[in-house]
Amino acid sequence: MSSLRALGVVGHLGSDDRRFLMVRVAVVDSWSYVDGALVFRTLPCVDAQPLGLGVSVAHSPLDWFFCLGFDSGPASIRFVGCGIGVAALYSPFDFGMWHESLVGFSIFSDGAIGFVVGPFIDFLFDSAIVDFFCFEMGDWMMWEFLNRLWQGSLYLFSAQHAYRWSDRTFRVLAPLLLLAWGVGLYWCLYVAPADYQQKDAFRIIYVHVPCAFLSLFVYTFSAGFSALHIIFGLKVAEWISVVAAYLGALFTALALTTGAIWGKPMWGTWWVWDARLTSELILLFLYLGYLAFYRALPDKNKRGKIAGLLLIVGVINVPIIHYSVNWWYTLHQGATLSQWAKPTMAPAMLYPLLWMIGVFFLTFFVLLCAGLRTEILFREKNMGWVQQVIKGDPR
Amino acid sequence: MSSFWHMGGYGFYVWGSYGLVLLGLLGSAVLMARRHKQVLALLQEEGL
Repeated sequence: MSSLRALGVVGHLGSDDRRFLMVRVAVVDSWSYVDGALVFRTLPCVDAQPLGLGVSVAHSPLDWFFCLGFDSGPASIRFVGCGIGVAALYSPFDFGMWHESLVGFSIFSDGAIGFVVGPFIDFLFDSAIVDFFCFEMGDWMMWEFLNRLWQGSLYLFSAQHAYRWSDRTFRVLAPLLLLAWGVGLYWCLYVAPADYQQKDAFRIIYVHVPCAFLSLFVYTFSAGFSALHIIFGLKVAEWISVVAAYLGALFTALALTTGAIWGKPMWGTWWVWDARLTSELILLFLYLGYLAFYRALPDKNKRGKIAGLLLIVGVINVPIIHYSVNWWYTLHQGATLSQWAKPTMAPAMLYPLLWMIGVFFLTFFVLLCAGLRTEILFREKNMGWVQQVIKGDPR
Repeated sequence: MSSFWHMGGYGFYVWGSYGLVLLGLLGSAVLMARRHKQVLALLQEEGL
């Protein structure tokens, strides 16, 4: 029982004159399939010619593939190279549709090496037997995937394992963090050049922007974990949300104060009711409101969910802060970094800023792990494993 | 070296903002370490 399997595209990435598009046709014979491939040379694509042969035999969801590439000149055909790699077959959405993803590398006859990347290729055309087989297989794989994801999350977010990974992460990353801070401070305060307009006052950007960045990121992060707690009832997610909110409030307060200190020499005032500043202040109140509400609610089982709702509703403020400099053009300058535009800063000033943003992210995760491990021990103090940790400290 | 501390006349603002950030982060790290020790001590008491 065979059926025509696919028309797909595989890209061969290499240097400019070695980019190939490979169109594959595969024949499926119940469990196994054999496919052929046509390789087109795309650059220079004036004389694109079909050449190439691919063989891949699949007996299982994970298999290897092999293909040969030929190039045809006006009068001759020559071997240009071959590709080899692994291919995964899977059917994520059932309905008899199969996808194949493959990754590997190609070796050219002149010794150059390229990559073979096929993110999503192959669609299966219908054939009763294969269809049935795919449906069954796809169903099983999807179920297995979801099941493993769920089991993995339960494992990661069980109190005992969350204690283990937070404790270990803290121990491993804390020394690296100190090193990263040392490098960052030296770079920002000593190596980076002063701005031609703002002179050395410009250096405040290296702590102000990361704090502001983190204040928004941590808010979304904390609200996300509150949502996980509300939806799945994961206790650890509730504690992550609370510890993160403490740190987020700290970053927001630091963003506001360093901004004020920067504003005094540059704008001539510590504070104005500018849109960016005001919405950032509201963010601080949202953080503090969540934490106060959380502490004030008497029902220990429900407080994470009730206060978490407040946090989730407040997420509406995050895009408002982000776009406030565009929507209300008042005093605060526009975004320093944007994913849509090329950076306007000079590299000598930009790289230390990116470094500091990374360092602040690391700081957040290290402090989060430090706070989380304490929180887990405290809240699970009646559990047997905590007593074991205290007595034997088995790590 | 003194020009490094002077920061082109903006020494107060630059060192003030960096100082605040370090104070905030180190302060919370110290508070967290203290609470961790307290919790460990509490658990040790309860365990005995």
